[in-house]
Amino acid sequence: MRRLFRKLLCFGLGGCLVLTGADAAMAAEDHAVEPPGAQITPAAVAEGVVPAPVEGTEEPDLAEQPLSNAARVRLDRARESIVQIRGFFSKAQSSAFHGSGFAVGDEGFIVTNYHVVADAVLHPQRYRLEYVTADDRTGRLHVYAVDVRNDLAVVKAEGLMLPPMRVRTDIPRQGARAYSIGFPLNLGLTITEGVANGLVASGFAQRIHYTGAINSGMSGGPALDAGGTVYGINVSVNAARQLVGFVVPARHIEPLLKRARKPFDEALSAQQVRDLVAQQALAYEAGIFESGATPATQTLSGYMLPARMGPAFDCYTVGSSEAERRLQIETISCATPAGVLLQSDLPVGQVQFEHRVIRGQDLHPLQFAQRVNDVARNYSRTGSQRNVAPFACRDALVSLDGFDARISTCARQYRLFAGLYDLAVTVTSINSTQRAVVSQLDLQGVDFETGTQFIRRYLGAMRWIR
Amino acid sequence: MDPLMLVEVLDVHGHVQIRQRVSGAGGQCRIGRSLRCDVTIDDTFAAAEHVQLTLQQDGRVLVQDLHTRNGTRVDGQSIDAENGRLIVHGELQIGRTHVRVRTEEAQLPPERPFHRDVLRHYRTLLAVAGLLLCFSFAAFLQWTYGPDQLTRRILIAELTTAAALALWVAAWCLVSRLTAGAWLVRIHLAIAACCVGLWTWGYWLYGLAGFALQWRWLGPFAVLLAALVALAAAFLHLRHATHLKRTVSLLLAVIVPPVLGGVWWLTDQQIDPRTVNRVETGAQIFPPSLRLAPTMNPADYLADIERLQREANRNRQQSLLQSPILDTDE
Repeated sequence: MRRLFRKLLCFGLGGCLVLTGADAAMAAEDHAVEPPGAQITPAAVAEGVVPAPVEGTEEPDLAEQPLSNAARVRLDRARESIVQIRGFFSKAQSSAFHGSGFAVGDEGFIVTNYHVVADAVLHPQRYRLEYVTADDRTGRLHVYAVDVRNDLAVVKAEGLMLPPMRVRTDIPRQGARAYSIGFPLNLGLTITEGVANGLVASGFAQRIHYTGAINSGMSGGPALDAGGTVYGINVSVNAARQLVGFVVPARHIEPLLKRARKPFDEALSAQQVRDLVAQQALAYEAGIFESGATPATQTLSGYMLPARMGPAFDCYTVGSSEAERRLQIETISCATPAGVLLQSDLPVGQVQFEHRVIRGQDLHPLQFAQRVNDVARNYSRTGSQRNVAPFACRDALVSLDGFDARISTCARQYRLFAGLYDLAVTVTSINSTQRAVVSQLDLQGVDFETGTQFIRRYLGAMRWIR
Repeated sequence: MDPLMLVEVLDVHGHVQIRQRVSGAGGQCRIGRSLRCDVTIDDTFAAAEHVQLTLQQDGRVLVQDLHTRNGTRVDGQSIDAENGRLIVHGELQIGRTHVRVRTEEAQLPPERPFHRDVLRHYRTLLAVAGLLLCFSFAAFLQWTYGPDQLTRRILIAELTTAAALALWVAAWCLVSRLTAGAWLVRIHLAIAACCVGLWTWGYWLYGLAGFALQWRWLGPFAVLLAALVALAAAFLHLRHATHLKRTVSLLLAVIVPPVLGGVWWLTDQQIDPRTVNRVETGAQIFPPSLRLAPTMNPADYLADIERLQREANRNRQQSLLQSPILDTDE
């Protein structure tokens, strides 16, 4: 832990060393706030106490690490432009969800994440949105435009004009000092300091990797560069990650602002809004599925199996030996990095599949068959009755390329979005007395036709080559 | 010829406890708790001298209640204490005691053809055979799960099987004892063990045959088979444990298992929150050498799964009907 913190600190110091231009000007301003030579430790930032300067050493102790007071300056400058966005269930007085937002442009628009306001967008008569400003003003918010693919939404409150924040549309270079502001865990306005690490290379949706804390509630808040300009919007969707945050590039704000004309609750019915959201999700997915190229395959123990089905897929292979069950299992797992969130608990547009090549060790063929059937059955799906209908399934023993397999395909439709389906395919095949494959494919929130075409390609790429 | 009358006092199970024969016109039979009665019954709800039966010249019987508080019923109907009632045959209710009266005038039903009750005759053999089927399947199933800790797993499976059978059989034996007056342990054990043993082995072999011959509608037939076995078991248990008529037993056997199955299904489908995440992986597969029939063409299968969309849409409609989205403003 101590070593990790030292590394982070080195990152931070490195970032400070490369400040140039506006960064440098802001840095000069930072030092103007504090007496010359004064430095602030993380503890002091929290408590407002400035400790005595620390003598530099090669590997200084974490608690004694100096930080610039840049964070405080950024926060003070942005404070007036940032609001907390709260969602309330029906007429409840306590909030059901909350996030952050900030003012952009001169028409009073506030930008936030789509997933922050998704429940209110999809269930307009069940949830209402409100804002809380830095000086504790509150009022109703209305949604004007959403961009599901980039997880952005534009909202506005009548009569609320906040000072807009400056926005840059280019991506900060890797290693640049960066800050994220928001309302984590409903604890009040907070700023965190970190490093921008450029666009995520493997992702299909465009995200900037931010090494720093973005916690629940900071979603929709501004991500600032060293000069205090907004370079993106915080996204906090995975509590399991530590100090690995993602930021939506600010270049996606401008097109969304152009689409913001009328509030949804005036211009569109609830069903039209849902259709709009579903269309945006499907447009995002089209990019993942459009690849007409032959899928890359991987050979394992006599089976040729589909691996990278497109550029967005990421695969890894592991092997395991289950001595007590007398099995050796090699697993290829592939998945697209992340889908888009249609609402807080409904990610769509994700594809994942897993091939398990099973080899038995001194098992009777019936015992081996029983093991294989157990492996095929022991696979759980997730989903809430609130969001999806039950599966409908079809299964048959089908001749694939060089081998026979029991294929079971199941489909379920989304309750709120008629055009979206989950498809689950299980392929189970025993090809010799001690060798079998169990392959499971999950397509989450896809168009049925697109999904079945993907399944066709998937099954077509499977082959038994002995 | 002198007219004749037979008076039979029945126990709760319908068995004859006391039998009294009266002959000659004017012959009488007095029934009550008193020792002076012709037939003395041990029933606190009966009077000391409760009812008098008088054999008439025409062979009928005059039933006269002797002005008792609880009265007397003949075939379920109260009789007039002053006039009494003339009967050819009938069942009297005196307090809680049932008394059957019949005369020569009553028509006897024709002789029933004799059928040997196989279950009753071979009950020991069938019970042993059924137990062997159950225990052998439990052991076989554990063997298919692999050789590790086989003895321990088989022992646990056998004990579990024995405990489940014992509970089931004990319940039916208790019903037998209460309604028919006998425990009939071997008969109920034979019914339960044979049905369970035949079902488990039959289901496994049916799955194997389904794989070998590529039967596509394995699931519905398996449900039908299970329903038939449940029906047979329920009918045989009821026939031996109760005095219900054959048609009533059959009716109960037809109704009760589907009702219980339906309750289980509803619980499983409606209450279980994982329902929407349940996928059918299809029937069990076996080594390819056991397959006899050809498999399906991939193109046919893909055409088939395209039809899934309709089913999925139907599921959504049902889901929306059961649990509507409440905030739609359309």
